[in-house]
Amino acid sequence: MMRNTLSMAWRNIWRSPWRSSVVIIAMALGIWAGIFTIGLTQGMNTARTDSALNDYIGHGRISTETYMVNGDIAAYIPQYQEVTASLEASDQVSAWAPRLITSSMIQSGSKSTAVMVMGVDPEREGLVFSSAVNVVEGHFLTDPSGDELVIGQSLADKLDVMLDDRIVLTFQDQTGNIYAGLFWVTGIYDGVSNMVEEANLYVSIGTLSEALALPSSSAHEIRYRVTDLAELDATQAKLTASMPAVVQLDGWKRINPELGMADDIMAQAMLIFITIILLAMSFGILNTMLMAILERQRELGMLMAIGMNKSRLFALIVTETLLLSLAGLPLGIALGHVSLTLTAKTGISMASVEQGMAEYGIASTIYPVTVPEYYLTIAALVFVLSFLFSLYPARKALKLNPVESMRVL
Amino acid sequence: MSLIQLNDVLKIYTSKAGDVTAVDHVSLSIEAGEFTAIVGPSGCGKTTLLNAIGGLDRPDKGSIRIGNSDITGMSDKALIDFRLNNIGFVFQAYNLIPVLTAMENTAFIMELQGVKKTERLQRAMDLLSAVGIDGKANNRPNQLSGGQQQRVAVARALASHPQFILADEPTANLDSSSTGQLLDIMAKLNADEGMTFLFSTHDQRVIDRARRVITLEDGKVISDVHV
Repeated sequence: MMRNTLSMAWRNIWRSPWRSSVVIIAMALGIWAGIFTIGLTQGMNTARTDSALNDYIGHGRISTETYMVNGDIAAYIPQYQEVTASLEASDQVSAWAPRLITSSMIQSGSKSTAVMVMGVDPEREGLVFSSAVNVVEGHFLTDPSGDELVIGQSLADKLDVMLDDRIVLTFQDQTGNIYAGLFWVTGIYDGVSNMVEEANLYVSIGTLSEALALPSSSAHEIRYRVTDLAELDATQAKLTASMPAVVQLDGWKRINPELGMADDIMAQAMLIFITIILLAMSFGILNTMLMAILERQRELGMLMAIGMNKSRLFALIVTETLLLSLAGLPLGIALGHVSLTLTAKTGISMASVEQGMAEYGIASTIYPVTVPEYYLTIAALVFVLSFLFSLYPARKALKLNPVESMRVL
Repeated sequence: MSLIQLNDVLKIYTSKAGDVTAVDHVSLSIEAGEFTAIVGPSGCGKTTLLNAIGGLDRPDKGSIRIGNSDITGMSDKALIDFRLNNIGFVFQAYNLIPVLTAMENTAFIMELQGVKKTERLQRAMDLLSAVGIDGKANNRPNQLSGGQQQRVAVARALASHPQFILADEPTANLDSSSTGQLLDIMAKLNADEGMTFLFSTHDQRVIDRARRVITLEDGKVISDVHV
């Protein structure tokens, strides 16, 4: 009986081929728009995450709890050699870079502002981060203990400084004495989020350890990259076991929870977005089904007259509505998948909003990603919404009086 | 026992213009195997009476028995089942299902009854053959003439093995040739298989073939003639 209901419902849909085609195409386009937007947004999000991990977060961080809680510059990593030996011994760690960090005032000829000074090992830094690659003017640090300084383009603009300008950094060393040092701007980096560019500048770790009056082989934190990011938690667990108990290891999601949550938030937002699209589409289908019932009153009345019971009539209307909705589903998913696959290769230029995207460290060309994990969710959403929206037309049909319906011309 | 027994059936329609008595205290009995026409001018209550007998409309008063069943007290659900298994309907406008072929239209009612596919297809073909339209079994209603559609409607009405067939103005939309053919078929089914037919009609050609003619006026039976 189900098969016959299905067959009859399918034929009923095509009684008005144009009307049904318009509804099915509208549904397919809605689904396509939803899938494409999800793929584009995920592409943007992935680019933002990759950029953040490559530019300033890394995959993980080793530090002491005291430093993380208080930012106490004296709370550098103890047993540094032991820690770095563990990192070297792990075949799941591809690179690591030590950092000393302190807050500082930076002063150019005309302006001053607060910044975070990163003391980095020029060679190792380039293995973990793209800081060196991002230098657009001059060069990255070359001297492990010189007076070179690399600042972000945004900070350079803010301070009105150019390459080879001199600037002064002022901060407290670990004994409480004020240190003021003159540095040369040897490099300007760009293409990272404006917030990071304005906040972080780089000097050599040797220079900073001396200025902070810290031992020569000391670091507040070590950032590292792993060979397989998907296995980060397992890698961290192994590293933790091999290191002194005093250090703590954090993955990138803990270092930057906002970034870590972005994927989840985006997924939720996208589901809401596509639900809204599908809701709008469902109203179109509801309208079509109500029209169909109005037009077929006489026939529905006749069906009840000759003995079609209410549950069968209900099933017929619900099936018609479901078929009308679901017919557009494969087309919509196929369109979405193909368009995402194509644009994932070519990218989509967002040059018109380049500046806004740069604020978040995202390149102006977005590479959408295919999102097969959403297809089943979308199919389920279409099914559930269609079923819900079929109830009203089905109820209208059940309320028909056979005698009155058959009088309709 | 009569096949159809109406006792003092009253049906009043209420409207803004006032109450209209469509069936006015009608008592009738129809025996199995009859070929009966209910006649009268438009608005005399023929269709209302047929609808009440067919369980499509409920009388305001009185009772209707079909065989051993009093249909006036049945629930809507029970009435649907009763109609499905006991009454065949032929409508003035044929009312075939447009998306189904002649064969599927005929078999449809058996599907509702839960008859197995092979059995219902065989019976549908036999019935189409009986009404002389087996050559059009795979045609949809829009590919059939009015007369052919009405013959399919008769086949459909017979498909459920009903106790009787109600035909509301079955020839009203047919030309005289088609009317003749349809009446021949119905008369043959009546004569050969004892199928009871109850028509409402204005059509003199139908009245001429009927063996009993019940005339209504203003909802009342004013004559009941066995020919």
